[in-house]
Amino acid sequence: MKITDDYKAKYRLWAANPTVIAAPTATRLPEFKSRRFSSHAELNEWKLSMLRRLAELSPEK
Amino acid sequence: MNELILALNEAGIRYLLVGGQAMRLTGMPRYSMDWDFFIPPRDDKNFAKLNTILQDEIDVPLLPLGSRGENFIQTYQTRWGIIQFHLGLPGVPRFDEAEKAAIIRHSEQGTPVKCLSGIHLLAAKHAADRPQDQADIAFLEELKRLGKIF
Repeated sequence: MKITDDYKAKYRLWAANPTVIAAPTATRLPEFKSRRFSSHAELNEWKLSMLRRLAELSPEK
Repeated sequence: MNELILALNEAGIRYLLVGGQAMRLTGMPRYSMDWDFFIPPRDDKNFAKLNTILQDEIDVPLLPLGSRGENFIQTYQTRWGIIQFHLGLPGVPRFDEAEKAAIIRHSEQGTPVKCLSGIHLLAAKHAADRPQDQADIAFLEELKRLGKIF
């Protein structure tokens, strides 16, 4: 079996040698106003709608 | 975001980086489009200082936790990226306790960042247990197995 056949192998490799990679700059995010949520469930619902909007804006669509 | 973290540190803001960016600073090669900060839910001085730092970036002020759980999470789009302030975190003790266990990690610029400890990150991920949390859990469990979780 090759290491690439083991889906969890990457976690072992990463954990064996943790490395901080640079955060890429996020671009093309839709503008939105500040939001306040009372729960993580509400937040996750909103996040999903934002991801759908992002997908709609994708030039790959 | 480095500029904001430096400002938070300089002002002595009580915060803990959590979520995907905290995972990245533990050494997991992971992308996240937002920055999540756990802050004390009713520390008025902390809110005042935060609102001063963020005043040119946010359209409405950051508010303390309401009596019915209002304002539990507050999201802003800023020039540094999307910032989310969490006034509580499922699976994790109160802020004061989490703060005692905090770990200083370093960003890619070498800036010290106060982060939720690895053990508390793992607890938060288990509590959330969404499909997107499973990779984080697998990575943190592996760190734990290696005795490298802090």
